[in-house]
Amino acid sequence: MLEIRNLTKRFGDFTALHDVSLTLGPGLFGLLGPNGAGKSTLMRTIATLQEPSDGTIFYNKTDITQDPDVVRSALGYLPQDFGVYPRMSALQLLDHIAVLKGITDKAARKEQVETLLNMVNLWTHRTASVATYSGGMRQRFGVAQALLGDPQLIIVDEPTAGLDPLERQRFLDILSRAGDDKIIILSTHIIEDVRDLCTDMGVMGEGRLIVRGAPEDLVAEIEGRVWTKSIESDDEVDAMKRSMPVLSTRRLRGATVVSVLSDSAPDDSWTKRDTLLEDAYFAHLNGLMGGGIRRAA
Amino acid sequence: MLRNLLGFELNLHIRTIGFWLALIVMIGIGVLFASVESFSPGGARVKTNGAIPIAAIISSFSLLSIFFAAVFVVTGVMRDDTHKSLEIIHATPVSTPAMILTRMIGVWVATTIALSGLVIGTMAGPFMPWADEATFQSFNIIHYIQPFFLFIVVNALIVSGIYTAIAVTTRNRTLVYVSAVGLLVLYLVGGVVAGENPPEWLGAMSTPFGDNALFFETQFWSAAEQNSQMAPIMGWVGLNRLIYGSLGLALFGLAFVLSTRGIHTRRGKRQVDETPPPAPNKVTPVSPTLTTGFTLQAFWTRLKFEYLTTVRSVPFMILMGIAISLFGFILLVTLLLGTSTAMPTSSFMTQVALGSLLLPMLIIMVFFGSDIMWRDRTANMHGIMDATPVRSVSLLYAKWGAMAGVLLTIILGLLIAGMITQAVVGFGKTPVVPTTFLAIGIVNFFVRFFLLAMLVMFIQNFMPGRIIGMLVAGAVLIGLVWFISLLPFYHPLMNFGSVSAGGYSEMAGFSAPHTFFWELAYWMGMILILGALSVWLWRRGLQVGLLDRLTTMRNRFTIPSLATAALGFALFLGFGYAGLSDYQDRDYRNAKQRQAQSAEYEKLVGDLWKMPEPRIVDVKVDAQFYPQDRTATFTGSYIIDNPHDEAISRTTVSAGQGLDNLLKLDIEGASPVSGEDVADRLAKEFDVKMVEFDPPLQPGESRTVDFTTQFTAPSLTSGGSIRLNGTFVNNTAALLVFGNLEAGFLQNQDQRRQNDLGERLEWPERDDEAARQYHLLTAFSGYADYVDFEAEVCTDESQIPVAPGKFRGETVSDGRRCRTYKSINPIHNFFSFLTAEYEVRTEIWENPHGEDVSLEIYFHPEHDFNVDLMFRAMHTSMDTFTETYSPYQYAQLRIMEFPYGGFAQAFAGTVPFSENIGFVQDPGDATDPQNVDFASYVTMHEIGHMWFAHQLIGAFAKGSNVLSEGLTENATMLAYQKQYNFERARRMHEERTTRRYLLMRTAEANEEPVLAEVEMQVYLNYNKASWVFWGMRGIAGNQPVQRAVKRFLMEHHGSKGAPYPTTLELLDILKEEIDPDYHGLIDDYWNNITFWDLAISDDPVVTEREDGQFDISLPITLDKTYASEEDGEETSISEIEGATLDEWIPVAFYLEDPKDDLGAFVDDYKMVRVTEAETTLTFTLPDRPTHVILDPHRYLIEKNTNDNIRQIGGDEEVEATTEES
Repeated sequence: MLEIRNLTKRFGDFTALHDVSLTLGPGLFGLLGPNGAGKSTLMRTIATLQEPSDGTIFYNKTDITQDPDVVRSALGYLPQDFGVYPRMSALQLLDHIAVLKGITDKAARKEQVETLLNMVNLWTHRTASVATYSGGMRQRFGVAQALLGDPQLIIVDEPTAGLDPLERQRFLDILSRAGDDKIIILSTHIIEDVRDLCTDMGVMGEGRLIVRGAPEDLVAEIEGRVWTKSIESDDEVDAMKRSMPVLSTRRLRGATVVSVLSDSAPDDSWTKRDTLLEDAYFAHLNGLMGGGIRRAA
Repeated sequence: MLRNLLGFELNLHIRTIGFWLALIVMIGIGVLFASVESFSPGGARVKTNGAIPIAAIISSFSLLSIFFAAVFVVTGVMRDDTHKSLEIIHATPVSTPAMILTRMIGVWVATTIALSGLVIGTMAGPFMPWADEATFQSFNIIHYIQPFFLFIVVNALIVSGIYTAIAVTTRNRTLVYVSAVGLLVLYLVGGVVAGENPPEWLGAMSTPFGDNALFFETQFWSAAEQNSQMAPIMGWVGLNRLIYGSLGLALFGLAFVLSTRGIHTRRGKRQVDETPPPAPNKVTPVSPTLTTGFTLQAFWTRLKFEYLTTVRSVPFMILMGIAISLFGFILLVTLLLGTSTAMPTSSFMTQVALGSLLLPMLIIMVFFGSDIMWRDRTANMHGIMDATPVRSVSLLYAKWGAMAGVLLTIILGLLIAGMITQAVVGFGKTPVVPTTFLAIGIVNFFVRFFLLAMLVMFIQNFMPGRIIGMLVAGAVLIGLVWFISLLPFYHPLMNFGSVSAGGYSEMAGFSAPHTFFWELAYWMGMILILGALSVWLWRRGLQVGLLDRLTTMRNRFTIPSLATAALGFALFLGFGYAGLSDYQDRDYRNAKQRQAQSAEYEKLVGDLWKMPEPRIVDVKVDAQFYPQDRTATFTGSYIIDNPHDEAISRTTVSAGQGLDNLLKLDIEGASPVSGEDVADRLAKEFDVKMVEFDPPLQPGESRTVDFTTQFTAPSLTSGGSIRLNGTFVNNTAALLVFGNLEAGFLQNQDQRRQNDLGERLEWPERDDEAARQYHLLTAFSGYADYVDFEAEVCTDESQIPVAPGKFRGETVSDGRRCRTYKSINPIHNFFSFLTAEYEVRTEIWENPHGEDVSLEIYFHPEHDFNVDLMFRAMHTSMDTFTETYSPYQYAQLRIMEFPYGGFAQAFAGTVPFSENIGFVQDPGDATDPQNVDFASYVTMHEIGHMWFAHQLIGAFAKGSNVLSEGLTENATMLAYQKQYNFERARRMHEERTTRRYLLMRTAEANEEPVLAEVEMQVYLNYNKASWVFWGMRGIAGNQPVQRAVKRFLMEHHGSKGAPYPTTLELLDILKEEIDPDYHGLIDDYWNNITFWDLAISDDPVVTEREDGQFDISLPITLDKTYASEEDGEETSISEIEGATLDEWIPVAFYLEDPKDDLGAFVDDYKMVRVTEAETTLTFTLPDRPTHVILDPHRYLIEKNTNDNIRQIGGDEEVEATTEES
């Protein structure tokens, strides 16, 4: 059980996390939010890489800001951006990290390293220098190292950024198989990944946790309230953004398709469309769902 | 376009911190060296802002550009790679030549501007508040402008050219930085080459920055010239600039041609070609075990990783390669160029292997310190690593350990290289002793490097970035190694990492092993503190600003880390306190404080020293050495008398080991003075005791003095004088000293001025009859003429005790060996005691004038290499000197080896001789005319002193030192030539005399007196005197010169007592014995500072005569100058009214190239008398000469002899035809 209480993180004048509270049990938790929303800060703080300015984090009842080793020994962490030592093969580097993670028994280490390399499909590249890996291979290596030992808490920060669709799918497969008994926190910009994988999710914006709930619940909340219209004039789109509860706009074949949140069609020119998680995301992010942190029913 | 780009480039450099740092450092160095006395190349004589000192500062410190220019190149030329902006920038429409050209020029200009800091600094130096006005002359802008263009602009071109070429061909930042070390090593090797007295062209070209060229161009310049004249363009400096400047330009061109645009292809990936086993879905979990074992295992894994990553890295391999080649170069240079040919013993080889390692090691520490400490962050691995449960101690100390391992690897690598080299070079001569290599390598080198490196690691932990860390660490190291000891409040306890066991001797081991241990414990305490602090403040995670870490530091306090810190504090404070107390107990003073104390002393005793002193006439000593305890006790009795006309009521005494170790003092009818201000201050501050005779010591009256002194065991901070094996102490160190010694007075003019002392106390004039009552040694060991001497010396049974005098008997009992010695003739009050485990060899010299003399050599059993050679030198000397001068006066002649030091000293019939010279010197091939045999030479010199110093002693007056050293040099050259031949003597003259005189005189801080009035100047007493005798013998003839010396010796023999002779008498006798034709020459040598300048002004013309002989006409020019004593300004004879040229010029003709033996072997030798500045000499010779040399044997004191030689070319075809027919 991971319990985050009133977590605030300030960097000088800038508040990256604003009074975030969140309790997580086993399962895959998806964290959504635009760039700079505080997702990484939250994850790094849980991973003990930085200390909160205020608030605490309890992992299995232990305050990890006071005793970081408790979480470190149970953690599998894949940072958003990581590098590797040059001229070290995947085998060597995984073995090295395994030692750092406290797997002292050589045979156990060897077996785990080899299994993981197989699992992430890097077996044929195991003697190649990790530094020469492509982006996808490197991410798979990253997940392999995160799974070393017996992690009960797995944190992966935007792991699928820059991966091709096939790589991305492989990665998510591995992640979803990692276990239902573990707490897994996944941050991403790809909203549909969350809907596919996660049983629980949160949306962050400007350092706050805006909403938290099961993806299906969030979708259900606005089911049937999303209307779209194709508009040609840019001025009209701008005016609409000011006057209407716009969820999103996107260019489609020379026109702009505007989606709004509304209980009923604003007028006849609007058509209802299927509700996506993306719509719920924007609805919360754009403040269309009322203030305060809330938990979707 | 080009202009805009260039502007952009400069703007870019100006906005980097590195640029400003470089500029500030350069300005700082300029100010420092142009204003602070300890650094400035100038002083009151050669001015600090003289033309040549400025040029020297600017050219020498151009060296530092090799570091910052590398950074500039990385910023300027390689920035697209560094900043990963290559793909954007290289895709813009800027033309490739414009882009590359502006970047290269940008680097050049930035380097030039940064180096210009030296000009700004040297200009500003004189205006600093601490600057000493007397060391400056009036400002002259041209003295700065010329070096700016000559050195800064060209040197910037060279370094930026080199780096640009490397940068564009390799596109590898690390290689650019590593090549900086390569350049440094080349520079160091250049320095070693220059130090070995190579041919001038080689020395001048040995470094690319023009500093050595400047040195070789101006090395013999007088102070006056150095102040006002700039380095000539047409000379070594110009040539050096031309060659290296062209090289820099060529490299620029090369870089321009080779530079490419776009992305270099990378190496392919390695892929194992096999079918992967089916991918599992699950992995068996393994729970971490986070015990102490884990901490250790992680540490060990990390240590191996950090160490192996470092030693397998390209930079390490290159640096190691550079270190090994540095060793190789130095070895080659010492073997090929060097004349001081030491035997390749293990301690010598260790010195060769590690001696030049300091600077490269500092760079290695800074470079790898940053590399290792920032490795995880540079690789961006810290996000993963720092979230694992690994303990910070495992990570941090593995880094420290790896650094230590890297240093150890380098040292062991070089030691092994040294051992292999010794095994080859010294095969069959000197055994390889691995323990010697290890002991010196670890104790004297590794430990200090280790401590400094740990400091570097500590510093990096606090720095916001690796580059800043490198700069700060570099600055701290430089400060610690070179500058900290110059602080006015310096104390050795501040000198971080200075751990020393003293010198190493193959005879006696380390001189201060216990000092090593306490210093090590003290600094290790500091290291533990730094270690604990580093763990507390170790960068873990992502938020690692120093402030953040400081605020959370408390969380990191663990029991082990607190215990480590506590232990560190205990060691540091405990040993620090113990060391400090010991320093205080023995009145430690730093250099500045010592100067101030000397000044105080001089002011205090100024008047006191005019009192008449009692004279020692008889000495009896009982010396007890306890080598095991490293102590000794001396019980002595003197008989003193009063030879003056007035009674003596007070006098002063001191003891070599201080009043604390004067255990007993009993002067008949005298008692110590106390309660008087001066007497109390003398005793308290200066260890001088004032005593009062009651009743006063009447003229002619004698009294007895009994005393006991001791040498205490080594204290914590000092090595002590008594060694386990191999002790050598003289009477001023061991016994009671009477007399008004001026030895401690400050001599340096600048230091005297700073301490408010007036002009230096000059030695008495030669015609000062009062001064002539005292002889030279009075200044050293108090007032005495000759004394009767008797001693019993006891030591451990395994050692042999030695003192002057005839051996009278030995007793061995209770593990003690005692020997008694009594001199058969009175000796100087100047003697020494030695004890060591010796092997002794004895030969007999048949004395034509009396009883046989026993020749004895006492030596360390392993140092028997030259014993036979030294015996031969003893025989030759005894034969030569008795035959030429007078009978030998003692019953024996002993040479005793002693550890450490690098000198030999002649006491009555006994010569202590350092193990580092003579005993382990390779005399080389006896038949090789290029060889010099210093082992024999020094032996002969010391034996010469038995005549000149012990039989003949000058008055304590100007010029008298030359009566000891100069006459001894003359005698030595005589014996050396007798043992070998003229060619070898000619070579010795070149190696030992000519260059040393010309060079060392330029470093004179005060005035250069004429030879007849010399005081303590080594370059005059030894080198010029040797030159003058060599010249007088060569031009006026050996016979009359030696006849005069013999007459002088006999007429003023020391046994006759006062008044003692001076150079006035010597010159009178020389002129009486030598033909008046040469009296002008004698005056030029002795009473003037004379320089001759000979030159062959045009090709000689040879015509064959009908009788088969050859007429030769040789156009020459001749000048003679007199240098001023004050600043060496030279005035030509042509500018002196009434002065005329009337010079003896030797001219030698050769039938083959004479360069192998320096023209010693002459085919036709003519001595001509020249009175014109320009003249054509004519000769008739039986054979057609190939070469002609003016003054081939360097009898005349001349600086530039390059124009004294001509090859006689001409009609070679005619010659060939003649041969055929």
